[in-house]
Amino acid sequence: MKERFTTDQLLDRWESLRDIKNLMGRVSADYCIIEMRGMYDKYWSRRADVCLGVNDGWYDGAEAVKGYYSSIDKRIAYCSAKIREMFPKDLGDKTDEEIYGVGMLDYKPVDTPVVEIAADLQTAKGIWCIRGSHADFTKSGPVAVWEWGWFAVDFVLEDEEWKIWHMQYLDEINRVESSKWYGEEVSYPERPEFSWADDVQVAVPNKPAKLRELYSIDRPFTPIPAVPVPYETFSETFSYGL
Amino acid sequence: MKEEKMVYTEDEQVVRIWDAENVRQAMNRLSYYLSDSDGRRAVNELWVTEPDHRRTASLGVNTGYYKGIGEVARHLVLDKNERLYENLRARAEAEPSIAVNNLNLGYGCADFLTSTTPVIKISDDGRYAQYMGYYLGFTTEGKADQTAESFLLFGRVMADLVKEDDGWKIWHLTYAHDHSVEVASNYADFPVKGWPEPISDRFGTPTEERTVYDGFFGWEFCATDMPKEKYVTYTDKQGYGPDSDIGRPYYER
Repeated sequence: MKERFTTDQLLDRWESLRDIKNLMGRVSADYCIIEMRGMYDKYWSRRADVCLGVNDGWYDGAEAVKGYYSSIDKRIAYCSAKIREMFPKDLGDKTDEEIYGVGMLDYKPVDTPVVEIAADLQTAKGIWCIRGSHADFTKSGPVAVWEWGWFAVDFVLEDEEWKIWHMQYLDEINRVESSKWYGEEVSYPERPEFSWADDVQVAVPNKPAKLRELYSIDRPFTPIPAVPVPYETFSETFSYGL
Repeated sequence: MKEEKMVYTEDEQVVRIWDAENVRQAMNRLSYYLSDSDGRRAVNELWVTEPDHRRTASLGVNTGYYKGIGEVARHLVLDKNERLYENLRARAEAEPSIAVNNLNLGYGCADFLTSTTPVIKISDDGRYAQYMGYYLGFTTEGKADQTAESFLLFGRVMADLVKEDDGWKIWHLTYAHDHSVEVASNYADFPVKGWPEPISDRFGTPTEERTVYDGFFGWEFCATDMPKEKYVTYTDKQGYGPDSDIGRPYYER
């Protein structure tokens, strides 16, 4: 596709590019401040055919995607309340909202963007690298995990705002810190005071599938998610969705 | 006398805004293609196509320069493939069920390269660009003994790009690799001096061997390599190719 845009069109496309990059910046920032509960309403399209792909499957459709973020919210709220019980002196007088996300870390800085905006300016595609870390509550207490992966996203213009339409959030590495990348991960003994850690789980994909195996020494070569290429309109390019 | 800055029309300004973005995206694409061990796609899509540019294209590594597009391709494609085949043959020797063929190249291996914190300058004449950024990533290879050699990578990437008919193309590319550290190792266990670079064999055999980056001294010598505010047009000395000052301490320039 040879692009021929007027100056005004180039400016519109530049502003779209900025808005899309800022959207993903906000997604990253919301992970950092443990505000995943608001992500669906703020960043996702209202279309019924939205979907989120993770290593082990798809959250297919609006209800499933919304349910995914809702389940994260429930887990965060539950774990926060349990931490408040563990530390009554420091947190006992705090409200649920004030202690929301206490003790948790989810750091997903995104970089290396390649973004293509359709010539018809109705959709866009982008891929970002994630070099992150997160601290999960486990039955062994808080455990830090290194994460390397990608966000690969289709965007759609909706009421003059760019929204997420399809997203693949895929990990290549997701290993407990201090672990080698082969064999068993570093593990810690279980602690009775954290016996509640698995009580509330994040929702599983409603369409289980192996979108991507995490790296292992026995994994056949697995290409990275496809990088966007210039395109005229969405029907002429590949989808990051189902 | 105060130097006058270039004045551009509004149309030119918009073009230059997109020039910087297209340079950024070309360098980001490079990271993805190399992460996919697809040096061939990187060379075919992202590198210069005009004959004069291809003749003077270069790829710098710590120990020298690959000069000319053929040499660039030799390192990015053939050297990489040879390494992957070597690993695959070793794996197959230990596990005969692992087939040694093109389809299985990269078995048990993965690369992950990023491009971040870029400084991008477009020349006043709009024909050239300079890019400097960090690359942060990892490389990992599964071994026949059921372990893996996994390294976190830290370095800087510098590039001259030229605007050809088909868009911005990489002309001179230099990876100044600062250091690698094995996954799950402890920096405190390493010697202060004399720490061997574990992936130094991957620099290969450049066409012209010379010090392009010495991790012992660090980047303080390279502060003057930042893309200059004053960038009228490309010059060898100011560029990132083999005729530049890259690798020379500032007091020797």
